[in-house]
Amino acid sequence: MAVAAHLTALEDLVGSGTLARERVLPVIDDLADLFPGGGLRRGGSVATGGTGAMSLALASCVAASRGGAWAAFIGLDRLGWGAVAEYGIVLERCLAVSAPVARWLEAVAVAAEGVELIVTARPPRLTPGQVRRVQSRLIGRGAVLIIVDEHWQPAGAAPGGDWSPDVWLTATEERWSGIGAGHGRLLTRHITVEASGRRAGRRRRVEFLLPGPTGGLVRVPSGPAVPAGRGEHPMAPTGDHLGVVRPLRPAG
Amino acid sequence: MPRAAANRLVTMWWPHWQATATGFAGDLPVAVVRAHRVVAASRPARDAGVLLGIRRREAQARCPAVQIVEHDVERDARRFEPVARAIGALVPRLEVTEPGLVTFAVRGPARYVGGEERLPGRLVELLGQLGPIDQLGVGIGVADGRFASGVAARQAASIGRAVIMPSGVAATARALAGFPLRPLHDIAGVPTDLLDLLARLGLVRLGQFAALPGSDVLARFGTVGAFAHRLAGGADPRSPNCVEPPPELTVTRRLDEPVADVQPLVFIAKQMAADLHTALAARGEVAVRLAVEAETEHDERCERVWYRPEGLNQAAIVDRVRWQLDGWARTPGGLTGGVVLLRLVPVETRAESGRQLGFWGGQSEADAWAARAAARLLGVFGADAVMVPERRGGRTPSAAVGLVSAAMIDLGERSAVSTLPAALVGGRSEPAGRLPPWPGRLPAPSPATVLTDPCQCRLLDADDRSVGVTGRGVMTAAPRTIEYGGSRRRVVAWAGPWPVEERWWEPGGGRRQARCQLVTDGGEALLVVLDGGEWAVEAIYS
Repeated sequence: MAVAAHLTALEDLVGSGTLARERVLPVIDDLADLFPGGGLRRGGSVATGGTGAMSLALASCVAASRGGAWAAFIGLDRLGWGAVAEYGIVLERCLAVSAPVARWLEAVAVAAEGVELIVTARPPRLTPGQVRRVQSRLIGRGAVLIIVDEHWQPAGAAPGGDWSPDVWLTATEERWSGIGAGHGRLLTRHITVEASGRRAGRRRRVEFLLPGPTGGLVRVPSGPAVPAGRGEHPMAPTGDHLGVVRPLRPAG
Repeated sequence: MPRAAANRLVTMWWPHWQATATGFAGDLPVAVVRAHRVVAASRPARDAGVLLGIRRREAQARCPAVQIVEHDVERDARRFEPVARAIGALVPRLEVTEPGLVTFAVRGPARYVGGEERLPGRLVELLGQLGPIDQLGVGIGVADGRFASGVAARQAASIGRAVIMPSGVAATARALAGFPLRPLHDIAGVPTDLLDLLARLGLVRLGQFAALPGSDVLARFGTVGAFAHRLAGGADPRSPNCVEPPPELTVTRRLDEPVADVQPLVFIAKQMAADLHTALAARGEVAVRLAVEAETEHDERCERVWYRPEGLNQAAIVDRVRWQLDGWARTPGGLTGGVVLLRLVPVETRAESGRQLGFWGGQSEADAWAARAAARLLGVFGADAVMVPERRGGRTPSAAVGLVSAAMIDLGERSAVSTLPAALVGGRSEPAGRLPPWPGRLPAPSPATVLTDPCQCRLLDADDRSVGVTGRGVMTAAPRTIEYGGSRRRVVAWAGPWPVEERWWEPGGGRRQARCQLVTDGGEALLVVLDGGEWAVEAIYS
């Protein structure tokens, strides 16, 4: 049948593309190549560790949130909501759930019913059976679990505790600019992130400005070392290192 | 005495109920704010120039003594219940549109007190028994139909005595003729763009509008215009698509065990509201008037009719059940036993007009799923554990965005509004991620971690002496070391102090604070605050 042939041809043309897009939630362009598939795999998990753990987790959520996904922040009572808004997450699609650590499993399972981005503090000790149960719930609903592991130690194992995330991002070094000895103010932060994980391929080091000059995350292209940004006057924040940075593209 | 017409109604309206409900004495200036804008004010505050809609800061500037109170729907409803019960002594079937606005038929009560002209006096007397506050500023209007009696109540509230409009269509039209068009929107829900258009055509009074030929109004402005025209002309039709629903739609739940707590009852009501809403939605309808009945094991009854012109959806029904039961439980002598029966009776329904938002995004399937997940989380962890962030504005990292319980908010609507272009939502929405300016607030970037209880710390200079801030807002020495949480870090960069003086006009002295940003040798950036001579780590730029 001609129609059937046309349909097959059409499916070949568009099928794989739409499927790939449905399997992952988008992340902003500067983060895309750190995630296999170019985004947050539905049913998968990501862990962030190090001093910038919270900011990294927020930056990973921005594009999906702007695209209409809801985010639940579970057990993160110390989250600074001003930063959430400034990174570009849509506050109108956020839920803050303060569940006791002992009921982490329950909170994540219920949230996964209808929320696509689940950002949580480090989970409590879990049995392999419990981990599988949550994973199958996430896969069934197409949600993504993002674990913020602020207690991660540089010498320790991957962040996330008993969880074995698909991708983990750990901030190893951070350097603030804009602030000096008694003058200026915090403006941008240069952080070095190690990306690794079960599905992430080889371990990589990437450098970001987080927050960047416009508030969101900006990739620092690898190449010449970035000069230390200490003691700059706040009125002149666009030093050389900011000039070579790609401007932040609107996500989504 | 002639029998009053069936649609002769009394409307009682407390224009600033939210301010009355705060419980402050009537001679104190009080302003109730929601999202930093004044939504109600007591009379002394209004006299001092506190208008509705102005910012909190401006209200404080106009009237420095004003008490600012956050708006609380539950408090409004709770404090209104005794008032509703007091009126209920005279009026068997009372219809509460919202706390501070009730309507009921004249016929029964008027005959009881001996004429409708005696009714307002008797009502004020009843309210007087509750104490001096609850009769403050009430407007009592008697007229034919909901619209005219609402207009009469508004006029009564502004002139300070009851207004009784004559009966009959022509007489009502004459009585209404001098009023502006605005009540058509406030009371009858006629869209403001129609009223704006009429105003631009030079029609500013109800009488001018009513003088137009009805057929021309229908031809030019459609059914909405014709509806508004009939209202202005003193004929108060029910909204044309309102019908009385068949009795089988009533949802009744008998409880095997008497339930004494309000919370589980509200939970039961949630399921009942869902059943009712589904049954009505299957007929393409939504309830406009709903009677909520509850009975205890000791045969005490509480019945209240709730009215909402735009229709009662599931969340609205649950709210009203909660208000009613909460108020009943708190009234002394209200109920002595557990509740054994709950009943939701739709009294009047109308065709669900639906909402058409989809063109610019609007409420999506994801929103519906998220609202369901939020409802389940609320059921499992309680109303205080599931919150949604709301922009408020403020100086400190914790004040700029506040959290409100998800139980109070229609999540889907919120998300839908967030995707609309600013021009459609009154031009007030801020671009995503941008907070409106707030004088004295810390500049962006904001810290990603805000400590829930600030952690005490010590700031030391090069000679290990404590660092302070002088009265002129200058550090006494450059901080070199910070001790907190049992560790000692070198300070490699710092900025500040940024002093904040809040509420300095209060007799207690208000509070003085100073904030500093510090970067330690570990690369960590901290926000520290000096309050009462003690430094504390307030937030971490994590």
